[in-house]
Amino acid sequence: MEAHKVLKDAGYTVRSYGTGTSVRLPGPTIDQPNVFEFGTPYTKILEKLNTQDLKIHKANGVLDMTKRNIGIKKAPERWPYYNQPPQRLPPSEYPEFENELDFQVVITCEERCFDSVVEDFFSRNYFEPSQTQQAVHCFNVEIRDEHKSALAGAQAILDLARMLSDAHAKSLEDFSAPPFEDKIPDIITEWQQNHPVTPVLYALCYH
Amino acid sequence: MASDLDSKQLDQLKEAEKLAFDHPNFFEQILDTTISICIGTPCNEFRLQYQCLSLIYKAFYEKKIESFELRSQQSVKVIQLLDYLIIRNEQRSPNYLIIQKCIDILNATYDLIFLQMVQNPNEDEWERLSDVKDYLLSQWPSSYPLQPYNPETDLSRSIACKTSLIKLIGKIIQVQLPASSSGIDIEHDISVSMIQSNHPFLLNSNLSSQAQNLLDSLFAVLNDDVLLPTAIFTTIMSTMMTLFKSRPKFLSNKFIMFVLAYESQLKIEPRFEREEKLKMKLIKRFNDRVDKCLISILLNKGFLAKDPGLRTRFENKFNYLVDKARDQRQKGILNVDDDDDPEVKNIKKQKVEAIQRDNMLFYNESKIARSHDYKSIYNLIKPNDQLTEFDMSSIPTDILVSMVVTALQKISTAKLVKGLTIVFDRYKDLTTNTDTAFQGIYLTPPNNEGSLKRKRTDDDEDGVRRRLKADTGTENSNETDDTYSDDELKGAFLVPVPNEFSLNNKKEQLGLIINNFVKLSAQKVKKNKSSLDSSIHQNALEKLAISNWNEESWIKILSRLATRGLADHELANCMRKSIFDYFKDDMRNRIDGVIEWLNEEYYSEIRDTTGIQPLRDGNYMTYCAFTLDNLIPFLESSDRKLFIRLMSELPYLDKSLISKIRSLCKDPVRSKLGFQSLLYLIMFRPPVLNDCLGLLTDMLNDTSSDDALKNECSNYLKKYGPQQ
Repeated sequence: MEAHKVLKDAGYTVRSYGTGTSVRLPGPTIDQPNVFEFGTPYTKILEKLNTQDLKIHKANGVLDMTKRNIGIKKAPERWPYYNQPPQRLPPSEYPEFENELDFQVVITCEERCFDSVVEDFFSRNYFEPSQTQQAVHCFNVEIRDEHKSALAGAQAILDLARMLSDAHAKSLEDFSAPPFEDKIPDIITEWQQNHPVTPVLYALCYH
Repeated sequence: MASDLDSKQLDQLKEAEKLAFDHPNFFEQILDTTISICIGTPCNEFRLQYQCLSLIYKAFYEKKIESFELRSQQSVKVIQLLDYLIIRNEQRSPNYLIIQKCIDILNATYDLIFLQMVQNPNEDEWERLSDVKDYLLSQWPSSYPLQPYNPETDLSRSIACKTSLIKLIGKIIQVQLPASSSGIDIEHDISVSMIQSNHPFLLNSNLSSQAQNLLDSLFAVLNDDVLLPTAIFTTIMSTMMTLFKSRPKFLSNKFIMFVLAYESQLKIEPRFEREEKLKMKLIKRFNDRVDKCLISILLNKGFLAKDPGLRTRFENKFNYLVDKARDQRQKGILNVDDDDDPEVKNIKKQKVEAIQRDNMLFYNESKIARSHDYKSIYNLIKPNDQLTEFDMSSIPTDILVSMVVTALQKISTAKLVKGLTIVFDRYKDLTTNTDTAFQGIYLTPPNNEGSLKRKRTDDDEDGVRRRLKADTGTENSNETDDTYSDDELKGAFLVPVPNEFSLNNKKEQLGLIINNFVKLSAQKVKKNKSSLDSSIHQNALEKLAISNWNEESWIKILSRLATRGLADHELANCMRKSIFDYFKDDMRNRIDGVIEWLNEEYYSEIRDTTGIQPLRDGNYMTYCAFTLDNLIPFLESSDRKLFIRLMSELPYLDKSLISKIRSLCKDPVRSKLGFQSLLYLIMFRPPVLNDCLGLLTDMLNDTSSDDALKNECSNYLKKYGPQQ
């Protein structure tokens, strides 16, 4: 969500999803996580947190994170897996999107999320052969799930987004430049050199 | 005006697009008009063409026209457009984005057109479509529409068109191989199974055979020893997944075994990209990850349930890839090297040697020179290689000779022949292809590697000849096709735009111009009074600065260029300095030029002001002072006329300039020259009278003046300035 915020603030049209089965947040104890269904509004999540030990939630940053998320979107959403019931906000929340997969670029923050997304796209290729024409560039920028890493990781994602969008804009303005897609491997390489401790993944998928 | 028209047309097209999608009953009419506009638009009007294609792309590729029937009925109309843009337009520089859109449109309409041909046979249209299809398929896996370099490098170029082409190949395979299910869903599974045995031209066996060959070609690229870029690899995999569902019996085994056997570390890096180690490592890592995702799907979606042995092999491969990825993550991608494994290293070495034995590559194997210069004819290395900037002519001849001899001794005959053949082909292309080589370029998006002209192969030419023959031999052929004369096809013609000069380049060129003019001063010019000259004199309104050329004319040109012709002050000052340096070399004999130049400087300074006084630190005053400083020390008594003429014809004098005569007056040998000049100024230039008298007074009161000088000053003052 930090990456969502940073990208949104930078002017990109963004939509974010979780890839798990539910939203899991630290609970009062290690063996009692707070589990919410996707689609549960952040305000309700905050209400629940407020009924628990606030000291712990303040210390682990969950309270601040939830408050921040309220300013970004109404509720957490689940990746629209093929043939699974949607757990997302209504389309009216995203007038700039034609559908829930209307992306040019997907960036995941954990390798297992990247795998889930790429496998979902391959599943669509298999199960919906007549509907798999739109290309989407999928990246993974590995970020450890803690506050400080999330801040640094979001900036790294913004760097990648800027490099890609700059190259894309240039290829449309300047026809003498190499086509955008030809530049992607070089962009990724340059980005990886600038962020050597953040391993990147890439695949070109279709839906 | 043209751009206003363009933007108006673009707006109209956007409105039409909106109308077509909001009210599909207008779609047919709008599609017809859009195709006509696109075909009637010159190729240099790229944005207009692109907008037209955008409508068709959205309608068919994005299925903005939801009705399958409507899309299917209208699909045949795009054949004419694709034929025009891909085949007929091919000789000119095809625009990359236009070609990509065309391939996507063909992909989206191929099955629909096929269905139309099954239901309403039209052999001419099918032939025409087949030509377009065959031409595009012949380009796989080249860098089309970019100009080629070499097969290995070209795999990583033109990715977007290549991925579109892969999707098109997938669609053709799907349509041209029989569907496996008996209950055919028309919308989702159009195939050769629909062809009736008595169809006039669609032959099931031929089409299936082509599809099988295409499938083999996809596997051939996948199994090639050269590492595939991730975008190409994933696109082929995604296409395979689609075919795995729709045409399983033709590829299931091959596909499954490929996924199991894929080993990125055994692939060799494209020859000219081996130095880019991180990029190669990343591509291998990405391809392995995609392979792992495919294995995961095959394991988890029940594809391997019937074969426990195979399932175990897949599980082992999955675990191996998981461990490999973990190892990479722990070590850091920058520190991992597959070649650490001696076995892998050995296998790759053998592969590289085998490939090199069979196939010698130069980076730039293009048979067409990329620009019209000698360098591009001989260039076989990477365009961005620093060596391309090296000027070989700076090497002494004997060293050059020994370099060439050494190279000839080391190179294999076959490689030398290949290199020379490429150079020969480029020469041949430039000398025979007068259409583009020596007549400039046609206006397309700026000349670049993304839109360079591609040559048609002999096979393609045959294809086009056949197409043209079919057109002319068919009475019902579309009239629009026959209306394109060669001239129209050429489009607007423009001379290539030169590169803009840097300031240093400009200075260099300016220096050449000045030197050339200076050389003119040494040439004798034959006087030739033309009749034009007399007529000019008669008509004062048409006065020209130079009506007849003479030895001095260049001064007028250069001085006017310096004062009025150059917006850049730095360049103007460069020119002034050059003019002054020329005069300085022989001030006595060039005094006419000096006077003319300084008059021009004065005029240009005061013409926009109300007064007559030039700026104290302006060009006129500066160069007047320089002139006097450079002339006076070298004057002799015999130069009286010359100096007086200069002092009388300089358009403006002030105290600072007049005071420069002091050194003449104080010099006993040339004192007469100084006083005569002052006398002339006192008598004939009243505006400077006071300045002259002031100088005399100064010299009179100067303690360093000798008696003779004081007497002379006193006499002049008594006579011309009694009140002083």
